[in-house]
Amino acid sequence: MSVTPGKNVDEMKYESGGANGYRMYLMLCGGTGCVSAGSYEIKNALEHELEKYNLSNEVSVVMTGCNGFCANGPIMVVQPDGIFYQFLSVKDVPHLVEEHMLKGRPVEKLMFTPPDEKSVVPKMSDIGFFKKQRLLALRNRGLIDPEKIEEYIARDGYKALAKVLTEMKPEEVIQEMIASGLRGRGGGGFPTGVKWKTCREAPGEPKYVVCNADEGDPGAYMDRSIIEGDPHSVLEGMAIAAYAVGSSNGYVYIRHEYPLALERLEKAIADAREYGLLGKNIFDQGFDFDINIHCGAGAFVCGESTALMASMEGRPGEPRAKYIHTVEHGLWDKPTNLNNVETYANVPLIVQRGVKWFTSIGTGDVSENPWGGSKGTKVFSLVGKVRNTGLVEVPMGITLREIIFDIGGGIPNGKKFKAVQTGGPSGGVIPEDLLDLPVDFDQLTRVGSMMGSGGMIVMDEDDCMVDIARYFIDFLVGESCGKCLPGREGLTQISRMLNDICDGQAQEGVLELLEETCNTVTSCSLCALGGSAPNPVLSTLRYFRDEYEAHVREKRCPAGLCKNLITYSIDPDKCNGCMLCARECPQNAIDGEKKKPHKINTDLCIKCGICKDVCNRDAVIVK
Amino acid sequence: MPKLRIEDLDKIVNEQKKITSLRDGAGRVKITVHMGTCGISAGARKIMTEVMHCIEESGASDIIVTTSGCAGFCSREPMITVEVIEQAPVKYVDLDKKKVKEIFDEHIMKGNVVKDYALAIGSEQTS
Amino acid sequence: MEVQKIEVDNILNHWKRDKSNLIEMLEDVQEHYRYIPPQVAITIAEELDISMNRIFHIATFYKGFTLEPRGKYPISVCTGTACHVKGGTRILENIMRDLDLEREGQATEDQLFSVESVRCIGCCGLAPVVAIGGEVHGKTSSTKMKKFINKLRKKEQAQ
Repeated sequence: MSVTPGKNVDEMKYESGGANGYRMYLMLCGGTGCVSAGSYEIKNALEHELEKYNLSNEVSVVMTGCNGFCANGPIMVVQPDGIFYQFLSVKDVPHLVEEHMLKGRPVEKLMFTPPDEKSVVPKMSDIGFFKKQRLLALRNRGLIDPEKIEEYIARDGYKALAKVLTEMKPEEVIQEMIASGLRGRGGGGFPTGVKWKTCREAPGEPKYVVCNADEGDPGAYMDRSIIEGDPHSVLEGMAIAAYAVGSSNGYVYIRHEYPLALERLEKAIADAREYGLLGKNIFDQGFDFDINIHCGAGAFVCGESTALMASMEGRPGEPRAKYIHTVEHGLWDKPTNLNNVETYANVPLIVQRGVKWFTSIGTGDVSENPWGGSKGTKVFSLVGKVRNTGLVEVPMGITLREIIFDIGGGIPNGKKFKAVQTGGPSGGVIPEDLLDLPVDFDQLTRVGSMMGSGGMIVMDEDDCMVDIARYFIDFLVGESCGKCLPGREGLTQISRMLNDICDGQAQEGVLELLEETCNTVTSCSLCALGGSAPNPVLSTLRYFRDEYEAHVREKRCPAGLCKNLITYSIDPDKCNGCMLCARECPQNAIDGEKKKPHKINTDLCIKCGICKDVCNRDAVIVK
Repeated sequence: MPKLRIEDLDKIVNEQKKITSLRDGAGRVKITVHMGTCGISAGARKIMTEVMHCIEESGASDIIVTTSGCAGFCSREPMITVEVIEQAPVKYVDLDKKKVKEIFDEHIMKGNVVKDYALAIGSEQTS
Repeated sequence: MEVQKIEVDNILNHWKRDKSNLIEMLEDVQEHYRYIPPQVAITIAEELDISMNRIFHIATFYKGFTLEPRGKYPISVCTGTACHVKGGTRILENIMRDLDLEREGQATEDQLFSVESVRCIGCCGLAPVVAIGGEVHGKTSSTKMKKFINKLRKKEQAQ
């Protein structure tokens, strides 16, 4: 049976136990399932018994993460023997300690008899994709039915809300959030507790609590997944925030492209109301809070706080100058606390497990300064040219290499890694020689990218960096609200230059002009999205200037992607004359007889790539 | 449904355990179909239909079927998790109707894990 | 016209005739008519006593609204970053060419299909992704889409 994934027993042996080391480790499961079945009580009982026999220096009790075998909990693995106990209860403990730990005789009646499948199937914890993940915001992923509030409650849901309402003052909740070092998961990385504090202290009534589920960044879908898979964790987080800042009105702003998420969110809110977990006088503690949904109509800029609020008021989502903060003058000009989906999903866990636990995960030191580090985990959507695509949650401080190669399984089809893009249109690309960079808010910013909402798009040798820059700038030109000049005209000019470069029309000196224009947009834009808009260009220029130069000087696209600079041809040695490409070619540009190598007529070819898609023998060459 | 008091939370926890945990007798097998947007577009609905169909055909009454959100491993969808009483859960990936039928007959009815389609047993580390 | 008036009335009443719900009202209009018909915009402006300018400002600002009818099967080709690096943009061009469409948002002559690019459907793990009439197709290609579209068209013509 497995022990804690990500922290294997061999390491454990050396890591603690003083000079002599412990001779035995009791790996007690501390996953939610086992905790609710009483594993903490068992831990106390074990420690008490060990003390009694003077074994505390020899035997160590370790709480592990979930073993995924919750049905038989609480469970415990004794190492190094590897003996697996299940269905433990406090009354078993004295006997167990006396027999096994003292006399060395394992207690058979508490043991698990493994089914005789001879471990042909690897354990979840041995699979690279899952091994290095640590699920906090996604703690219920795949384990509960998101449409049943009872299943969320069964995994300790709404207990954090009960705790703050009965045991904590709002100021204490805020203090806890500041001390936890939780920073905004939407991308900005602003300390959540500090925002709550400002909102609480801001004059004006009523106050609003808003959840940003607009998730406009292309290539990122963690918010959708959290709402679809565990909507109540977000509602509970919002309720705790509302109690802390003194609000009784909540809104979720969600994009209309997510019909399933919207449906589950609506159901979750209705269920929570029915149970009295939203509404008047929650848990009879005199606290009122309700949540409504606002559905966005498709605009990237609405992820920006002032634009989001304008949109909620029924206006076009145009940002305003931010010298007045939304936390003081937000929705309907009232103090408004806006956090992202993933941020809220973390809140109940921090309240329940405490600051000490949360700050043990991640980088830096936040005890004096909430900006001093990045604590907890971050969910990334690991996509693009990587073997295992999906949603991964990892502790802050993990390296890009671990994420892309250990979790993602590396680059498919024998291709070479080129770069990884993080932070969406506001972020940048990171090249191969920075793969050992630990991932946290500050490190990513230092290398010219940013955490962003968590999109992580892996690119291989076939991806052109100029094309990627153009892709993001064209996206931003289309999504620019048009209010300020740098955002409207500056981006358009940048787009023109990039398109010229990709088409092979650019003149010498364009790169300098490009840089200058980017710097102007960075410093003069009205909102943060405009200010960060040139990042994809600046970071590709910084790390892949040679690719730009090849386009400009040699009129050549090294990755073989930019249409005007490439030609398609067929490798006669590989082609077996199957006729597939000739049949599919929309231009009838491919000549050839059966079983003889085909040829592409370059005058007719429109470079649509269909022949390359359909070829089973990889015979189509792009140069 | 009456409004909850704090002490009701624990009651729900215990009631749920009876329903969802296999050992308290609600069922012998629990099948979880992962139905997020990814799963559904990869064909999770068809998988769900096939699971229900297999159950109906077999006449078994000790199987709990439930849905859950995205399991995160999108490139391997559609996925299901099969949990037989007193055994660790097994995740199956890249499914289609034929494979579901095979898993149902072999693993769920006879107790043999279909290792060709199985990704892993157990689950990942949470909190 | 009378039918339209009743339909618009229903939508307005559903949102309590509150101007701050204008975006939600227009979303309902878009869903019902597959676009924002000018006559409906005029009716809303009169009923809520707001300017046409405000309605068109919103209808042109957000990508979810169109001023010409979408096809019966709107085709959304995802051009999010993950889909882009996996050839989504090329799929978009190829579908447009196959359907003989000159610009995004335009419907085919038989009013069956319209094509537009969307920025991320949120299925990046399955890139490239195309949604046709609300049904999401993952790990797709130009040829697969062509076949599917032809199948849909045949089905429609048979009816």
